[in-house]
Amino acid sequence: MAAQRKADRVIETDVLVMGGGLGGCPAACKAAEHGLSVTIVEKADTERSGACAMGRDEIQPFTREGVTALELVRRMRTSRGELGKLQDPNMLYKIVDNSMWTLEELERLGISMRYLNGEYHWTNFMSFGTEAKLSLQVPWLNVKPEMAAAVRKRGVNVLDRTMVLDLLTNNGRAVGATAVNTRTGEFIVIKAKAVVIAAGKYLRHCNPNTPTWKYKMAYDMHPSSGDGQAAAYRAGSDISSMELMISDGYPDELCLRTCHFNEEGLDSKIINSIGEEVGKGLIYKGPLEYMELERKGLAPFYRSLEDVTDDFHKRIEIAIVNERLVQFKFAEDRGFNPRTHRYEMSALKHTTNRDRAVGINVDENFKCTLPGVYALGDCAAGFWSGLAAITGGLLIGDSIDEYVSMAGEPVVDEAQVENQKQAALAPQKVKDGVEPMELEGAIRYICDEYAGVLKSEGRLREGLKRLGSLKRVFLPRLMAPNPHYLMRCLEVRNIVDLVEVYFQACLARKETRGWYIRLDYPDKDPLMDNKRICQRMEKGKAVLEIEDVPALKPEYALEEKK
Amino acid sequence: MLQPISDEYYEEKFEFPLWRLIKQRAAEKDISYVKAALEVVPEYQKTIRYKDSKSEGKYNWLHKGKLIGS
Repeated sequence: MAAQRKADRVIETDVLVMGGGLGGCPAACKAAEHGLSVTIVEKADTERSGACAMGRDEIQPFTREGVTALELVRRMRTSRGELGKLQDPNMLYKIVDNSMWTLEELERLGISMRYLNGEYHWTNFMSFGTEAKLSLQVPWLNVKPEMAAAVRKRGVNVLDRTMVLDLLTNNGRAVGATAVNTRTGEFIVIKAKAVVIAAGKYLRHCNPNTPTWKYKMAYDMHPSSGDGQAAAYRAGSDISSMELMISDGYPDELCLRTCHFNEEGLDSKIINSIGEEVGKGLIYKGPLEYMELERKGLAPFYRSLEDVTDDFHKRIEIAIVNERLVQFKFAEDRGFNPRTHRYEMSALKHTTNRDRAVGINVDENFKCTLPGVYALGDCAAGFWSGLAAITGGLLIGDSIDEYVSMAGEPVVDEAQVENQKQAALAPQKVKDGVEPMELEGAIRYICDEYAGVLKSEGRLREGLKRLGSLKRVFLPRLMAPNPHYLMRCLEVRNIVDLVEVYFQACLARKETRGWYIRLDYPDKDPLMDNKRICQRMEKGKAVLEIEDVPALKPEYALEEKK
Repeated sequence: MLQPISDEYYEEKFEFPLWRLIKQRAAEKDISYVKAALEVVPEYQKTIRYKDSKSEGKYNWLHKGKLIGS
């Protein structure tokens, strides 16, 4: 009753799912099939939201053509060199081992991953170096509407245009969350026995490859402000390996996404700055090697499709349809012709990607360190991909009833609700303040300038100081003339919190490992082998711990011998 | 292949054949681009030789033992 005095609306549910994307919808469907009441809170519209609405062309890897789960786990943990070893192998195993089951379950739920001709369209799984067709190309135009229909059919309560503010906790476990409607400003308290965080990848703390038009970004910079990670962190759940927001060798995304041709197995040529053909695929192993090539005057590099047949160009066009039609317009507006133009590849751009080990810490059952919270897909540490999101969602939905049956009725702390409400709605009272995008731009500048690809102690500390002053002076001055702007203000609050976490993690990893570069510590520290950095808030204070990455369970390793 | 710094690189006007077909279908039937794409893409796919093993071998660099990032 106390919460009702604080909130415009109180919702009681067994399971709260934060995010109605690729992972959230399957989780909600399965939990509802187990007889639980389920509420999805989606910041956009469940019909067209999440990573696949921003352009995702395939899901992978599947255990087929004789490739075992164990083999895939090994490939995934070595495909990114040293950093791949920081992924939890047991979680990876669980996802790939259930990959084919995932397709069956989706069909049963009424969500088809079949191509437009009614068949599965298998393509090469290029990035892990296998010729087997382990990657599934999906007609994404249909997927989200089918997921939204599947959710509605199972009686799930869907709150679209609603943003989760923070998790509610009591006696060391999650008991729900507060939320705000981004159209009406309605403040909502959701009492839940368990919370599933499926809110996507965090990447909006730095400038993307593609110039931004306010909040519009290219696919690989999901416009995700890390709402899930920030909420978990503030609630006291561990997030890990945040320092591994690293650079990668991607083409200029103003043109077309690299996966358009990767997935089709194309042999794109790489050409250096003086027009020489220098190789295939990525030709440098990391930022330091790229810098060496730049010193010789050979950078930047370009990817070229000039020798590709018409058939493959048609396949690329279909891949663009799969992702999002607007890519055609972007390319045409720029006058870009993939038959005659080259893709510039960036290498020293800060944080065009992040390592798979980054995110909310979960065990192989997707449970977070805070009891009652589960996380999956791009926002969980271990394995980001469409498959990780969908399979994770299905597995969580299948097992969450065990926790819910033991959890007891959620008791909400009235003072915590009031604190969250005051903090979240404060920008509505500010006049002549700061626009959220102004502050976000300043934060991105600090990240690029002081914690870019090449890091060092002094710059990190200076950046942290500047970030602190931005937070102190400008965060309280954020203004929200309407509920939509309030959402943007709340996103910036999440970005600021996670950027602080990022800087602290970079300061703690005093070594160079794979594509993580500390100029002042150029060598690998053997004491950090198999170690990950975990961070959380505890009684309002930031806690940082270094812990071991779990080893592969013997029973999974035994699978190979069967 | 045009040099990225040349004037022609930015001045050439190009239209994707599939995108042109989608826009035409959408205009003809007064439907959305998404609905038009769902009609046009299966027709377009029939014009592609997916089983072209000669080209697959030629254009798949994995056949040559090279791995991304290796």
